[in-house]
Amino acid sequence: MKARHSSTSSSEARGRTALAAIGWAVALVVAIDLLCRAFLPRGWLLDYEDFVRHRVESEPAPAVQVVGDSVARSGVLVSGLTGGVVTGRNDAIPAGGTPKTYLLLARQFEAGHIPRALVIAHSPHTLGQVRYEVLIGSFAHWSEVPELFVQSDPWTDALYGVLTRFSYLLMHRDSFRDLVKRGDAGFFVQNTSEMALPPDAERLERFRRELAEGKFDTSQLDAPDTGAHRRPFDVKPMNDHYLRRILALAKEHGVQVFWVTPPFPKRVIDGRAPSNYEAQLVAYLSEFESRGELTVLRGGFVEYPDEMFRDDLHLNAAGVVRLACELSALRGPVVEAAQGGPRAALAAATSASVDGDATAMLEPYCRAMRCPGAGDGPLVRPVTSSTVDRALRGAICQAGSPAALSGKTVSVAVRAER
Amino acid sequence: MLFNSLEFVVFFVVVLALYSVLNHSRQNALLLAASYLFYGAWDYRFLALLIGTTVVDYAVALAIDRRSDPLARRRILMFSIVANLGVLGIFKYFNFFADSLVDFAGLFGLTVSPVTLNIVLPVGVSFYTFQSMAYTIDVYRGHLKPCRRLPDFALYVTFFPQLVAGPIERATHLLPQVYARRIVTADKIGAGLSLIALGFFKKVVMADNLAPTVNEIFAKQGGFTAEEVLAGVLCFAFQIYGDFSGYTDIARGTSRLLGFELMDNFREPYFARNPSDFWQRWHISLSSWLRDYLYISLGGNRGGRLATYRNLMLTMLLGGLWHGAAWNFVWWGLYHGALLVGYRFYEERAGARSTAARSWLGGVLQIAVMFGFTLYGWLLFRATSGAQIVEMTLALGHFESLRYLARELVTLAFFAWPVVLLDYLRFRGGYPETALLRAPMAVQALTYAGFMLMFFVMGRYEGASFIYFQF
Repeated sequence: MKARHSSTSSSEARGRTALAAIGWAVALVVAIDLLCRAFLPRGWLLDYEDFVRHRVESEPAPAVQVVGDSVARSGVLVSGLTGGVVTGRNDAIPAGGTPKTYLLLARQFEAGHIPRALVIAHSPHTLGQVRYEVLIGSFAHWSEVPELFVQSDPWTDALYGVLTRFSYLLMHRDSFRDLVKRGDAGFFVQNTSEMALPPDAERLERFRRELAEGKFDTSQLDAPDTGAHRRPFDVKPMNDHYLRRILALAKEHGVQVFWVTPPFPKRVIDGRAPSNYEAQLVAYLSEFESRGELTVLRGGFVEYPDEMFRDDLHLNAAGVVRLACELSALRGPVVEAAQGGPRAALAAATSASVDGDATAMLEPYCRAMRCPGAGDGPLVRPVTSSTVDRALRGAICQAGSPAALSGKTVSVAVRAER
Repeated sequence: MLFNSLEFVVFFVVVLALYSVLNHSRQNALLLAASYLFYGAWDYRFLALLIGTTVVDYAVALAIDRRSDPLARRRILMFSIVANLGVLGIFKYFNFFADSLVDFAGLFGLTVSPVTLNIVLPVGVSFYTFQSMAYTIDVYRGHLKPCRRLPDFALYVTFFPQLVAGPIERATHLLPQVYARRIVTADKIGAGLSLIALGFFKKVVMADNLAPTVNEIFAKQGGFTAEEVLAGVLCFAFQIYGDFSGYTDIARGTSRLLGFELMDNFREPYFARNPSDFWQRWHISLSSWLRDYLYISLGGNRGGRLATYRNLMLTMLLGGLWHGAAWNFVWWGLYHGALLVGYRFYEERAGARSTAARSWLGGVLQIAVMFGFTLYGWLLFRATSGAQIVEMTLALGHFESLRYLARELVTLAFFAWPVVLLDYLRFRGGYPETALLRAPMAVQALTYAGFMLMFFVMGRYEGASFIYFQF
């Protein structure tokens, strides 16, 4: 013990060296950060944000504009909503909540590019979180930061967002984590030459083989379940504030607003059932609906089978097609709202096209999902061409509705089909 | 307010900036106000409890000092102890004992309607009540003159770097630092920043990255394999060490920047050679508190072998219960009590033979065996129920595949190796401080830069609370 005490003072004397060493360490980290900024890619997400921002500010608006997050970007085929009758464009931005969508629309409207119908397709989990590192760190202009600061809660999250603006390492820490933990260097070799989403027809062409074979990308469904998307329904005040501002902005410019809640996998729905998530979401939206500020497009797409997802959130080909078919059955009011303006102006949009091909390509899938003779009626469950799906669809159609279908009927029908 | 939050960083920078321009008495006033703000940021309603504890023990110590009659002094001390333990009993243990009583009655077919209080456990209550109680006992024992100025004593109780998770300071160590004018030198700043860097690495990089594995395994209700149990317990061993010693390092580092010196709380605990050694290395401020104020008060080793064993078991039982109102902490305390008793028994029997273990290989074996005992203790500590303890223990005999364990060990090694290496160097050198301070400047600079890069890239920023906050 004596030795320890006597050496305390000499140990303290080493503090001066430590102080200098920490100074050098800080300088070294700053240098590394600057080198990364100079030589490493900027990141697909940041480039994509710039791309969409530039597009909405410089190009005429489509008649139907889809906004939202990564779930909306990859999961909503605009042609399902436009039916090839009016122009449409998907401007959803990954890692985006309502603040980001508001900032995007505010700049777009300021540039005079006003759509006729706005379809908000934010996955509801985005209402419960704010990604400050991308919102303030990259997306917002400096002039927009003070307001975001005021709205943030806690304010230190907004401060973190500002810090990420200055640091490449902080901004791209998820990519570095992927590299260190999974050896995934995708970020550092990414190809950012093709920014735009391929047209729906092209996407459907790519889906064709997957749909025919019934083999879908479920690669990340088995990822460790963090429970992140099973949290109780929550709306951060900041998201609520900016959703209201989106609606006010739309009202001010005479834009009709629609809301689409992208579906969730069954396992997520089941996991969060005790918290009454879906009912709370409906209650939240009904406030806006009752005031006529938005129209919720309600279909049978609250829950899809797990196999229709790449992960706990994002739809795969089967899910995208099924959602497009379900939306096509509900598109009447969207198209009606979109046709409220001069057609010529709408058609002038360069990247927003009237995608008739996609609509035609979707049709056989959608038809296959309906009961014979049901016209544009609601879809029955299956989407793939598998035996079980066909049998199930047949059983549902015979029973009259999915609700009237008993488990026994299904199993008998499936056996008979086989 | 968590150390691992930007809120704290901003708070501390502001406090430090103001502190540096004030004179001594105003510095103390600032620290006291900052400490109340720090605590109130969690829940301002519990400030009343903190202030109440402070006022009671301040007044009790003065009253004890004024009296010479031993019986009167003892009665006043008892008032303080009952008040402090009463706070703990109501806020921490009431529901536990009420529920346990109901369960116990149920064993005999009796139905007792449960009476539970809907109260929140005040953060850090076990730490500050023990710190405050130690003061009155020291005054009673004549080790210390009572503090005359209430604000000084309040600062001793509430000093924010160590308020909610220790180290549980002794008044004989901390109060003189409150009284005296403090000098902050470049040496202290360097050593403080070094501790803060190490603490953040331990908490945000090591502990918080191991937490998901631990949570996933201990969330299971059954069907464990030996690999899972081993992975879960090993990861938890380093998670709790990183979490708690990381907190201590940050507390000691920030204190140094304010000119204070807090006691060391950890000395390479996983290099302990036996149970007695372990408790001189793990949560030193609590184990020494239990020794000085409980074990010795119970009679220590003065009443013969059996009385010593009883006192050891009682001390460790209460030490376990100090951690939380749950049965697994009781089992954990009793387990460590049994280890201490067993080791004492062995030492008495083995006597001279135990010197054979001074060889290098003997030492390594001792460390390995003690680490194994410690790991099983962590299983008891972390388990969510008695049934889980049984399930996990039985699963230790069922190995299926080592692949899972190997993968988790690689993750563990990736996050823990710098801490293990630094601990080993300090253990081997017997240094009073982290071995990092002895390294050449270039090595230190590269290490701190490595810590920072790991912090930026691999650190978890979800603001995970510290495990010991709940105690």
